[in-house]
Amino acid sequence: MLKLIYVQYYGVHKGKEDLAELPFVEDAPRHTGANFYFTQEDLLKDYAEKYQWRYIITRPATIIGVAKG
Amino acid sequence: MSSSSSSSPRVACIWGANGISGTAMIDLLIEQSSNEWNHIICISRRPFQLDSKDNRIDFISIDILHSTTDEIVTELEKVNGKTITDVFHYTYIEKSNEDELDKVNKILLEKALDACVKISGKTIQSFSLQTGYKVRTRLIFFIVEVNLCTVLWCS
Repeated sequence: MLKLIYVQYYGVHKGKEDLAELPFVEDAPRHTGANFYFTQEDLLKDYAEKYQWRYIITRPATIIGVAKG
Repeated sequence: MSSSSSSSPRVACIWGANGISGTAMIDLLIEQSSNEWNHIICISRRPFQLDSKDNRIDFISIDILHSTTDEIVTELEKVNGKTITDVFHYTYIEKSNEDELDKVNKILLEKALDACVKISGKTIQSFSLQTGYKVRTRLIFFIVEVNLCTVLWCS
């Protein structure tokens, strides 16, 4: 099955009022409204600090590929 | 991340291993020598779907959402997950409701984090989380159609 992944982090799936400021830059403030990636990011930060892991959060633009099933 | 020859081999743990990104990461890791990566633990709800074959790969098929952290840890113990050094997280469940989307994907990551802490909290050095949004075929057809229309219109 063909699949696309794109930058939901900046609110591209949401209405115009919630979209992050253009152009999208890595250190831009979070867009308004909810985004589950903010929840995940905060969660990972907490664990990484507590257990002294390095962490990285990637925000790929469009990925096109094939997945089975 | 150091990849010098003096560093000891690394152990990867890939959550969401059957997906588009998980598959790509597995392929990338098995291209490297066993001095770099000597064990690759793959986790996915679905059974192994991949064409990649390598004796360093161990596959765990488990429904993270409906399993307890201890059940996940038990599976990780079976494949000697105590030495994991690097975690790659690619799981995602789609929900049309924003609150449900937030809730369900928080649970997925939280269980992965808790399981990682229990099995190998002290050996883990890095945790990688990928963000993204999954769209299936229809959008691609839409894009192709739009491009086609533009081409036709221009000509």
